[in-house]
Amino acid sequence: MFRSLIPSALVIFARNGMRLVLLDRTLLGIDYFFATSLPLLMQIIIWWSMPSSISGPSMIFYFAYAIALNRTNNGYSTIEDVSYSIVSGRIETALMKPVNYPLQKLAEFMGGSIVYLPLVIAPAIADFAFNPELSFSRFPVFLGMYLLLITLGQLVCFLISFLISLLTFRTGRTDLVLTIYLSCAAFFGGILLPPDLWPEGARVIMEWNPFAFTVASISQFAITKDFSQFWFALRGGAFYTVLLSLVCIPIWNRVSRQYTAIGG
Amino acid sequence: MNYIRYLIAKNIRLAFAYRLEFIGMLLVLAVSYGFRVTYLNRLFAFTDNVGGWSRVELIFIAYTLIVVSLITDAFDTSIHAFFRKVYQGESEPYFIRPVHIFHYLFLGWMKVSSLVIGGVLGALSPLFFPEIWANAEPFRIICYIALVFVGVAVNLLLITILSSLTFVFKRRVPSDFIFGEMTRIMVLPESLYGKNVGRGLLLMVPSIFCSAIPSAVLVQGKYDLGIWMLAGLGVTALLFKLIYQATFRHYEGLGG
Repeated sequence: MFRSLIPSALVIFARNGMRLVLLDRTLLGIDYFFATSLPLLMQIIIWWSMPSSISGPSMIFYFAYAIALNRTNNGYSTIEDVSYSIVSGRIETALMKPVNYPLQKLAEFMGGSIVYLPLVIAPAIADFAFNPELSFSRFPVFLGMYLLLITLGQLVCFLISFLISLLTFRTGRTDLVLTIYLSCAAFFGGILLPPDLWPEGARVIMEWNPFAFTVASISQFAITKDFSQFWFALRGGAFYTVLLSLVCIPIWNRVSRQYTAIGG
Repeated sequence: MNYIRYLIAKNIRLAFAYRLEFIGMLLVLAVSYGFRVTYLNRLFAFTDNVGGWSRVELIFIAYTLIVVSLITDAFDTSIHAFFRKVYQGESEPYFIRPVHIFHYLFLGWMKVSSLVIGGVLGALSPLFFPEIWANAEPFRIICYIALVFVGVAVNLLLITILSSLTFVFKRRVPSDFIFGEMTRIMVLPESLYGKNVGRGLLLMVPSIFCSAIPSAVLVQGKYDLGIWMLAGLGVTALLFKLIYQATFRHYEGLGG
């Protein structure tokens, strides 16, 4: 009986997560508009002034993809939410629910991400519309591969955020870590510069760090539409999903056993 | 006057009570500034100037931006605390006290630690950028310092204009978020926008250039831009007066 309950319960959590994002439409609208247009504007202005050998339409599209993907990686609210429920002692009620707590949060996170889906599809449509070399018949295949990479990237992003939020059990506060996490996600994710523009030594770090598989490697696949790039992003995303799960699960099991609040 | 002195003293005591916050802020600053400088530095691998600005000069704009945004943050914290009270319905007591509400708005909950770190970093600037400060005439330095404060003033006015929509909507207005996103483009010098667009923006939204214009005056001696920025301050102040008055009419306190 419980087996049949779990998938539908996850859907409910996902719908809940989606509603939570949709609840504050003003904030969502501002998020859609300001948080994407201003960083993109900055990159366009900077690269406009650069010699044309290095900048070009594909560069601008890289940033359009990367900035949209970074917006979708909404790990911020997961960290805030989990650490708030730990500190305020509300996690107990969530633990009582028939679905494992990390899975509840994952479903909520993914549900929230669905709201941002138009944002990541928009640059893909613009890319196909403005580039005469691309035919729209290839669009569905590209979109499928692109969405698969995004799903993996979201998993990695969720696992990183969840791991950070577990720090609350030890420190009690996460706002400092949260700010540093946001800077790191933007920098190592490749929002500022695509990984191949870094010098040789730094390039390895910029290409292989976990944040890169939530943004940079997906954007690079999106602009090159190259299968080897897809394969690289897929393997990297899968690797970090497995690795971070292996780190997350034992830590979660330990801290959730040690945690005592109301029931004692 | 006593009231204002009390407000400031209270916030200084508060800053001493949370000393660890100092270290945390320094850590966050170091990380975010480090990333930004690494990025700007890397840009010069592909070109020798960005809009007529050299590597050191562009990093100097980023440094000035940190000083401006830290001083802004000190008062900005107070603006947010005030408007939180407005939408939570707790602002009533502040309107009946014998001090003008603006004192509470800007000073009531100010973050002294940001102000101190901003001031110290500003004072240390000649140490980090000797080549820029060594060639500067005294008049340029005076204009630079004055324009940094003009930058802070336009930022605070802009944040208050955005936040004052709270009076109308009676809910949280994410002005901090909008301003935070705006800081991303604040590192760009005015010359990148082209003459007309740059001047237009400077007049309408001088916040975008809150660190670029003081730096332009100090490094390149472009006093005319400083005058445009002052005009921008005038426009923003006028907008502030009009919008604050218009939105405040929608304020509904408990008294009705």
